[in-house]
Amino acid sequence: MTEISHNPNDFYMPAEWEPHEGTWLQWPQDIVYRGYELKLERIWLNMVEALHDHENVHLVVSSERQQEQVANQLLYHKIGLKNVDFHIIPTNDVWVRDNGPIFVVNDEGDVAITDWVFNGWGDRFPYDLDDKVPAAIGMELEIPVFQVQMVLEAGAVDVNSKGTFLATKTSIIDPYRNPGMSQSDIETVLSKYLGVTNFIWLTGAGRGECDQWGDETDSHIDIVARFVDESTVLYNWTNNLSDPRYKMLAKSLDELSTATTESGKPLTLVPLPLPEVYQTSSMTDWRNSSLTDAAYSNYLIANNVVLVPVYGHKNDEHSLKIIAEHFPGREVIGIEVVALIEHGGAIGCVTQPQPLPLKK
Amino acid sequence: MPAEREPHEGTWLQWPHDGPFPDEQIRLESLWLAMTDALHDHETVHIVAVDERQGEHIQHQATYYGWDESSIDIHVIETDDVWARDNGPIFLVNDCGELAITAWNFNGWGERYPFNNDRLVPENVAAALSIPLFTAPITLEGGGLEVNGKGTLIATRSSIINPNRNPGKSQAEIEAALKEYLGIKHIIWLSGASREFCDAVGSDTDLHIDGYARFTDESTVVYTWTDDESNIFYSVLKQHRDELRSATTESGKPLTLIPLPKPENAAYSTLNNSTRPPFETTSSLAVYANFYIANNIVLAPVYGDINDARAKSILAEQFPNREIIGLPASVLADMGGMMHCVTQQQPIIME
Repeated sequence: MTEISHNPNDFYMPAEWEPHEGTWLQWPQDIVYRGYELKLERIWLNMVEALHDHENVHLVVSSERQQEQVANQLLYHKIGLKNVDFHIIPTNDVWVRDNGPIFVVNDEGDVAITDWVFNGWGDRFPYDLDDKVPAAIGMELEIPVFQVQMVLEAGAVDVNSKGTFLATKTSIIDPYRNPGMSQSDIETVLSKYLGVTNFIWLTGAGRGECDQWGDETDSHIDIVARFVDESTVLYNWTNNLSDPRYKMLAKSLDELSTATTESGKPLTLVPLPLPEVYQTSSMTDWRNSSLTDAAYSNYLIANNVVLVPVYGHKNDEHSLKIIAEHFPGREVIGIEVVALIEHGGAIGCVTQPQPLPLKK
Repeated sequence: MPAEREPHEGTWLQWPHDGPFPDEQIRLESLWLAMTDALHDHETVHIVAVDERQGEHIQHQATYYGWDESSIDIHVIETDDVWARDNGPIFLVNDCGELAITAWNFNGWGERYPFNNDRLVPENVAAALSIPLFTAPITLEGGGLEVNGKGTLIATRSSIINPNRNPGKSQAEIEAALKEYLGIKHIIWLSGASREFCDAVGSDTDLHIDGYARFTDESTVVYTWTDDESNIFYSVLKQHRDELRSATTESGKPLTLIPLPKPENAAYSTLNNSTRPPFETTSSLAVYANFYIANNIVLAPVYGDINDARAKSILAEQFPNREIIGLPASVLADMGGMMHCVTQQQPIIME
């Protein structure tokens, strides 16, 4: 590694649709629940299969034994190991979007990692190993790592590459994550490390409210609204007024309607229907179905493809079509994630794109 | 033929492979691993691998997941697909503690799908276990049969008394074969549905009983039901309910009938082709009645649907001494079946 002192101010976080070097995945392990790995494996195989013709797939595994198992599975299922590499890094769980590195690039063609504090979504889940993943990846890739003394998950962040930042307040300006930090303190840090200048803050829904739909992220933006280009946002929507999510969605829509991009342009807003997906294996409270935070917006944009979570729900088809309309050069691939969503996330939550830095 | 809820020696599974569709094994293997994981604590899991390579692969998986070797029994037998309920051996016991297999001339559900390998599974299993094989003079599938273990059978006419399986056979001839080969004394026939209806809803079985009515004890039946009169299945479900209401067990006792809801989100787009453009919603045959009763547990198909919890709690009431294990089955339901369709119990022999 060449010793050049890098200044985080020169770097910015590119939008997910910009060219990727690859995507990072953390392979499921049975330490989370018995049967976790075998139940979820199909989804991970499907993701590798869909991605590896178009970009690298970096797989974080827990041990040499798991690496051997995963390699065997990829070979047995005729996916192969093209563009696939393995990194043995201990983890607590699979949510690489949230505990993983947020990659940033500069105009010189450099890539760096911003390593934010990860505290298990405000101390809800174990995080001792997951918090160390960005630094470990930085070592493996031999690229600069900027340590940031602020709690942030990448699932809470959306950007349009031009300086606009979109997020919910509840998932960042949160006493369980960043006690004592004001909105302006937080914006200063975000500007410095992600290169953003224009902040669109939605209110979101926090503890006590978001639990009603199984959301343990306090309304990460990736289950509320996503940029699909510099000024167009897909937002999740339901017409059902009795849906517990309705109030938060309606408020978010109001807030998006008055927001503008960094150049003062209003956003073009496109509704994306929400599915109603319930917990499947909960054995505790059978009398009450528990809604999950399933959303189609929890997709991954990658080179040439978009991986969209589908749920066997009647809205799958409509949502795939809407997403396909907004990514005309990419193949939109649905991946069924019913076994994953009850753990709180979908495709977007378990993938972390690594941008391809370009010299300007 | 003992009822499914009676003690099992084990369960037979046919491991998914890519013969029927590209990617079928990737799509289904997680579910087969989950079923094996749940079952092997309570009974032997007999796994039919399509070839030696797959047999080694499954052995690898068993080692990786730390399954007790004595609970996993792998046999290499060529298969066309995964539906062990329908092409697999139907096991019989007698009072002398003997076990036998009946074979029923599987013909791919009325020649809809390839069946040359699957048809031979019962005789291959009988040879592997060195037990007698009886080949019945008619064609039917295990999913077309629901027995209470005391001599009563529930079945749909359309899935058995059908020229695509048994051309020229009268109801009396079919009933005689069922009585002779399965020890049935009393038959409750439900109507089922026409070929036109089955094609419209994508039922390749001509409405096997295992999607519609299942015994939970000698005289209690859970049946698939919806209150939604606009549901395409409503008239069939109502007809079946009416027929069950007037039916009795072999001893003349009326049935106790418990409705099981249907999943509400009856449309799926998780098939191979419909998750890639152009996206096309396909209607689903997903039901909760296609559960599998094993020792100490019930494997229940679930879908992330609002009715999952209700269906599981109804099953829990009916099977108070078994754990109800819900396994997400949407991908399998897209192919036309669920847990019951892909399992086949081997009863334990008792003197």
